[in-house]
Amino acid sequence: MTADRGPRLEARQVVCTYGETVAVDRVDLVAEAGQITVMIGPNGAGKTTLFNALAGAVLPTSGTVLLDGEDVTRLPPDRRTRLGLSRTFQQSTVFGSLTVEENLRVGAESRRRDGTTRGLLGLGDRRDGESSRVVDEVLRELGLLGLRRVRASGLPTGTLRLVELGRAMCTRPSVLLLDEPASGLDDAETEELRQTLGRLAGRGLALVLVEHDLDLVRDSADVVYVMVDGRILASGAPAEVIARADVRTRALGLPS
Amino acid sequence: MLTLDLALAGLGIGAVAALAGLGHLVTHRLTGVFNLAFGAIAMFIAYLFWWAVRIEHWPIVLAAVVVLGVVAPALGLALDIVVYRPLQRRRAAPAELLAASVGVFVLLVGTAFAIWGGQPRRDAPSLVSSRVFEVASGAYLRLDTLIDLAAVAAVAVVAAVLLRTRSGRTVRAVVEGRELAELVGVNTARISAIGWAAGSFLAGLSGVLLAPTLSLDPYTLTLVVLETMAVAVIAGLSRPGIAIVAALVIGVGQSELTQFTFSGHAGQLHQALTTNLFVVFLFGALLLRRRLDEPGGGDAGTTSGLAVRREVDTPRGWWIAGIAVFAVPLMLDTANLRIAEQVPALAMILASIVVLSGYGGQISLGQAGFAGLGALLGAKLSAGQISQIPHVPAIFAFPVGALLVVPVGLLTSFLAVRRRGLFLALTTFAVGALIGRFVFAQPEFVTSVRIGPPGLFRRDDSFYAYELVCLGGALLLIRNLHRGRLGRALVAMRDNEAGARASGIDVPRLKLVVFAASAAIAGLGGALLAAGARAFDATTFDPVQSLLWFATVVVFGVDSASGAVIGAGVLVLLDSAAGQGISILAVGLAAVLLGRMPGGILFALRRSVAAVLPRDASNDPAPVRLSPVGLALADRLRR
Repeated sequence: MTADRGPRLEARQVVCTYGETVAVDRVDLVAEAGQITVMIGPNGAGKTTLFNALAGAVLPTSGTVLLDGEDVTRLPPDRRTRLGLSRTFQQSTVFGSLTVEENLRVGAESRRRDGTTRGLLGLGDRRDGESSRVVDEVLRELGLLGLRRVRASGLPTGTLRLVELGRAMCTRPSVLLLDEPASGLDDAETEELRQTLGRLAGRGLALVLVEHDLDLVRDSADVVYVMVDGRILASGAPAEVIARADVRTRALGLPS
Repeated sequence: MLTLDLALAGLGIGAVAALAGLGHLVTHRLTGVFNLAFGAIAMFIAYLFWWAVRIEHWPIVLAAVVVLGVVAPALGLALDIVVYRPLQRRRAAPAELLAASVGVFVLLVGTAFAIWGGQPRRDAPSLVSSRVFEVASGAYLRLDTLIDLAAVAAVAVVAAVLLRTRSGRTVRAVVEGRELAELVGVNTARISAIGWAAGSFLAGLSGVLLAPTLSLDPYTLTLVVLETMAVAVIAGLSRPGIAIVAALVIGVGQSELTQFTFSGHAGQLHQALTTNLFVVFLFGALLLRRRLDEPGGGDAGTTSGLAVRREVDTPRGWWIAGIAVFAVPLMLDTANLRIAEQVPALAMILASIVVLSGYGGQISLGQAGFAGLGALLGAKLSAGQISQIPHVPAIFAFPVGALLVVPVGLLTSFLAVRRRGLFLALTTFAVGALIGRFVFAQPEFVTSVRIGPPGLFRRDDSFYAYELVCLGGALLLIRNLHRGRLGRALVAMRDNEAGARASGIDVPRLKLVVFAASAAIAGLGGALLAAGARAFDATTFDPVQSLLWFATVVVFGVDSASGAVIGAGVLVLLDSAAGQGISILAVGLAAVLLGRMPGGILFALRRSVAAVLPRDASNDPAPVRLSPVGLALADRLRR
């Protein structure tokens, strides 16, 4: 892993349009190592589109996305993951026919460019042991050890979120994008999530979240970006940003 | 240039295609199901009409009223109640609905086979008089064309009313979200029922109208009507006006093409185009579209709903029993051994579908194309008929021929990168139909093709052993595709493509791998199938066959290679013991009942066996949710 400080992921003047609609309008964003960066804003503000542009699921109309200083704007999502940028989704994308452990294993096995030929020939994976070790660590950290052999389909929402987070962690990312990680979680689970996020940031990961839960934002964010109508309305430390009158009325629907 | 007489002649087929296209649209919009069985319904109703008039000697009018007015809509309603409604009630995945409509297709083809046999009937009665008017000097218009056009106009008006007006908005609501519509008090069951009745009526009508110009057999008419779904695809499955225009344009275009003459290769291509323009347009439309208007979208691509991977463990040592069973035919006499020779070949073709649809989640309805190409190329290689490639020893000709099918598989996989579910199913069908129409149906390619067991394996028992070796190799490859890291990556891609990509899996490349492997396996299976029959028969690799094989695989467990092998055995056994077509009927019945037996026959059996065996507790989901401490403790205890 690279240095513990400095920008990991950067968006520069990113524009995303769908036909006539401009969903993201010249947005700049920096996610630093060891920090939790949170995007907030009303529905339809363009958060998810920007998020998808960062992850590679949407191709920006213009602008650049830099990962560790390298231009990844046109790379597909799987390439970005192999370069150290991992993500979760708002709606679960857990692999239902695989067990919890296998789900994580898919993530753990992703970093190396694949052994398809070896697989076709029936030769084992050279680094099976290493993958198992990573999977075990993450299972333990997320408290999923007891569920490792359970098939993922049919698990409750909160657990699925954890499995997806675990899968992303197993790719050993330097940047982790989390799309509304707390939605569908109860209070206890949200608290556990908050602690997990803190630990990850403590290890030098750059975390980028889209989140609606203002308490979670206040408690854990280092930097907040407020998006309204496709643009960044404000950014900075959470307490200051959330206190701003224009942010309260335009982005949060609160009394000024 | 356009000539009036050819244009008028082409309007006839154009009008029927418009009716069929409208039928597709109406069914799709009102029921939320893309009815792949449409062509089979058309064929079945056309058979009934023929039977009523030619065998029972009913007057045409009576037969029309009973068969088209009563039986066809009733058939639609029955399908709705028996097949589709239970599936929609339990919110089955779109792939399951698609498989069910393939099941209906197979059931109807099988029923027609069982009742009327496979021989073509050339005396299908005309519904309306084909009297001819001279509209200009040398240009004639047939009365039936005129009536067809009137029917199109009438149906278009009804369709416009159904889709546009207030009731149209209700319909739209049903299509967009069945449960939501139900919540606000819309009677979705009634709208579906109307859709199925009207759709089946239109299918029957187009079948009855087309039958006199074609020969009536279980395959031909079915395929022709199926190919008219081109106009529905061009219309984006939603706009009736465009469907009508497209149908008339293609119909007239096909007819206008006949005024030209070419010689040599161009002549043969031209000849093929004049009868197959609909397939070309189907493929072209699918190629150009970026998405297909498909209600329910979402996970429409995944076949996970059909898959059973590891829900039940495979019994240990099953392969020993398998080898023993496969050795039995070696003790049979030549006639019986000849029949048994079909099993390994068919098993490979079915297993190739397991690889693609079961493991990789890519619905493929064009597998007969790959299989047939494998047969053709294998035959030509062993005869040294491919000019650029040197003579290949007979023993290797089939495997090398199979490898030559891989590029076709790769081309198809490029189409699969952005297409999923129904869209991919139709695209692969179009690929198979193109190959069928422009290769297998062309005398240039298939006459003088001689195929049989390779030199050293002329004796039936040694050829059977040769087949078993090939099957063993294929199964080994398939096992590798299902295990370890590659196997996990494939299941990940099948279960959730976005999640797979986010986990770092190179999805397009993985699709390439499964399509290539599947094409090669199907190609080898096809070559062996033709070699066993000692002839290349185009009907063995008819595009319709792809749907039969797909249904068989779904019935025996879409992600079960052993299911494919057993399925092949059952098909061949049924056909040889109970007569041609019985296997199709059986598969169709089972596929239609799949809604009540998710996962297929073998899975249902294995599950009931597993239910009485002691279970490994670690596979059960924890009944209570534990805290992290509790989970760690539980894990320690378990160790």
